[in-house]
Formats: sequence, C-alpha cells, structure tokens
Amino acid sequence: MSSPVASPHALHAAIAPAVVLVDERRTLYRLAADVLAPGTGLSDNLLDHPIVRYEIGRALAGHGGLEPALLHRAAGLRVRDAGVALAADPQAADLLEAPLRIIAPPGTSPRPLTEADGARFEAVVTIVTEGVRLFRQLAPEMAVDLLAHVSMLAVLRAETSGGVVSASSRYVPGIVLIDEPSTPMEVAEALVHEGAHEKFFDLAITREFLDVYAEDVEYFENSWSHARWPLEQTFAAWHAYSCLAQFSTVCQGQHLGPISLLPKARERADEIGRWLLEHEHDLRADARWLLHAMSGDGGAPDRSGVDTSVTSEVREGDRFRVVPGIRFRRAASGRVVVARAGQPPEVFWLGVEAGWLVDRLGHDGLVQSFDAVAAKAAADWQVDPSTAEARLRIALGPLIANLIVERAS
Amino acid sequence: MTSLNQPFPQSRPLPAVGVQPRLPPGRGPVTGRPVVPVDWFRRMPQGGTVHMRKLGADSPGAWFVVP
Repeated sequence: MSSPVASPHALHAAIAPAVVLVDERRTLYRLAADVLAPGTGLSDNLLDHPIVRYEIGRALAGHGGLEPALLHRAAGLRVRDAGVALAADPQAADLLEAPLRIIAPPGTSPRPLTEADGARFEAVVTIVTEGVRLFRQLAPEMAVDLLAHVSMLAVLRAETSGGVVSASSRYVPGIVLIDEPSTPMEVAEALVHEGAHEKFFDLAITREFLDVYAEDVEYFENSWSHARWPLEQTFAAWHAYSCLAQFSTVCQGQHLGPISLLPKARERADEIGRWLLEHEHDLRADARWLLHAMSGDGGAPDRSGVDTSVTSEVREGDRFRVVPGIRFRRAASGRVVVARAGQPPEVFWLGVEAGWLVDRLGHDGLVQSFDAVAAKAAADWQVDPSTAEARLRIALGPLIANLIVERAS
Repeated sequence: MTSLNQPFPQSRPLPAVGVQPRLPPGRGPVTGRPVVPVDWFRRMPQGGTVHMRKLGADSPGAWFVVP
C-alpha cells in the first residue's frame, strides 16, 4: 500500500466538514427525541452531551424509552474548560456510570478524578490543557476536525484505571476517557486516537459506512496481538491508526512514552487497510471511498452506483402523502432525516431528491398529486419537466418501499 | 517539516471520483441511495475501542458490555 494521498482531515471534509457532520448528528438525535419523548426540546448543548446521546441511543436500540428527567440530570454534570470539557463534578462517577462500566476491564471499577481530589485534579487540569494546546499547535486542522466530535473528557484515577490508557464507546459517543496523564503528549495522542473513533461514530450514523450485515462477515486477526475484530472494530481501528500515523509525522522531537502507538501506527494502519481492501465489498459506499482515498491506491470507487431502473410506477392522477406518524427534520446541509415511531423507532437518511419530496409533501398528511409535485420540482430545480419526473420516480420507489410515503386514495 | 495540514510530499491528487459535490436537488448525476436506513443503533457488536496498557493496542473488548 502506498502512502496516503491527503491528510485525514481533508478526506473527512470531502465527505462532510466537521461542522456539517455535527449538525446532522444533532438533527438525528433531535428527531429521535421528538419521536421518543415529544416536546422534550433539547438544546444543541444538551444534544452533544454523551449521556444524553447514550440514553437516546439505548431507546433507538430498543432498550426502553427515553426519560427526559435523566437527560436533564446528566446535563447538571459540571465540567472544567481545559480546551475540551473536562469532567470535574464530584458526582461524575455516578453521572458517568455508563461509560465507566462499559470500558472497565474485568474486575475493575475505574473512577474519574474530580474537583473533590483537590490539587491532584488541578494538576491534571494543567496537563490536559497543555495536551489540548499541544495537539492544536502540532496539527491545527486535524485538531479542529477531530475535537469537534469530542464533547467531554474524563480522566481516570490511575489506581483504578485497570490498565486502560484511553477509551471510547460507540454506546456513549462523545466522551473520551483517559488514564491519569503524566505528560501533555499523552493527552494529545489520546485525543487523536479516541477523537478518530468519535469522528467515525458520527460518520457512521450520518453517512453510508456499515450496514446491518457488518456483524455477519469475516473477522480480522491482527499480527501483533492476534486479537480478532469484527468489521466495525476493524474499520474503526484502521481509521484511528491512520490518523495516528498522520499525527506521528509532526511529532518529531516530542518525547513519546513506552506505550505510545505513534511509532507503530503507519505499519498497523497499512496491515489493517490491506485486509479491508480485500473485504471492501462488506463496506458501504462512503467507507469504501474513505478507505481507498486514505490508502492512496488511486482506486476510490464512484459512489453514483444507484440503480436508476428501480423507479416507482406512477399513473396519471396518482396522489401521494407522507405516511401518518412519520416525522422528519432537515439539517442545515439540506439533508433530511426521517423517523418512524415503533419499538424500536426506525431512522433513515434521505437522498437529496427524496428529501426534497418528503419536505414538499409535509408533516400534516397533505395529499398532493404527482403532477403538481413534479411541476414544482421542475421549477425549483430549474430542470425540464421530464427530468424532474424521472428523478422523482427514482426517489419514490424506495420511499414507498420503506413506508415513508404512500399513495393516497 | 511536513505539515499535517498539507498533502504528503509524494502525494497524488485526490481521486476525482468518490464523494460528489453537494448539489441541489435535481442537479448532477443521481448519487447515493434515496433512502438509507440507520442500522447503527440496532447493531450491538461486542468489541470496542479500549486502548490497554498491557496489550499496547486497541483491544477486542471481551469486557465491552452491551448496555
């Protein structure tokens, strides 16, 4: 495998700039809250909170409902500004119970350092602040790209961390947990490593990366520990090692600790990347594109592989509406995300024409004729009527198949 | 020194294909699927991203508890 063609942050931005990705993530969680607990009305700040996202994620996975009181309790977690929001609340062990439990090695109970630890915590605040500053100084654009996805950092008391150096969890996205650091460089490396995972979590829920079959495919076994990873973890590890490899190129002269992954990152990224390229058929379009682009093999596949032969048959006078009970929201990017209440709820992102159509039909069961919608589309899109009709038919087929839009009698 | 924010010296241009520019509805080629289900919350894989001191690498999380 040859060297990467461009920095990860540039390739990430080619998919979506961080600010767009974060807005789309918020839009999805806000829609989910609309469906799970109507009227909750979460602010952006609350929607970024890892525990809020954990609770919404649990409900979307079918593990119970959403308790707004829990969300507001989580929001009371006091943090310190260390360049990132550093968990500081003496109640943090209780409020962050979920991520602490999830990342705990067997037989251990990691506990966070907090303001209650006095000078020891203040010393950590200084090191973390310096670590964030160092990351921003060494790799300013990568820092903007990755830290946009890190909503909170928690530092584990060294005597409780059980060997954890750094950790993040798909179930509690947005929070990075690190062992009590000795140097700013440890913090900077952990933020690259775990920030890459957090970036991947946001890409995975807003773009086409993995589908429901990702659990059923072959596992990767690495050469250095012979651990076997499912596809999702393999992709996440490759992505993190690729970011670490890029970061290592600007770390000359920095003192690296004995457990730093930076010296090994390029070799490991390449090993995992070779395996992923052999199994790319198990990845969805955006993941394949990122894999090829970051691997620098010049073979980034075209994503325009939509089967345009699957169109909806539309007869004269056909009328359509959004299926009652379907809710949707439009992100600042214009992309539309749709949810259907249920146990658990279902969530879909729509393509541009499908999103336009659903937005046009509206929430209120408004029935519109295909002819009227097509005429409006031709005017809005500034294309001829036949092009507008053809594009709407391509969008309508999957919208009807997924019970998002229906014919109205 | 190579800047992290610039392509590597031996870099090649970004492939022209791949991620398409964001076009308004009705413009450009039809790209992406019209409806993409978000399966992420349905999947409950074991494994996670815990970097352990003993192994010195991302470890498969046998301890990675599904909440």
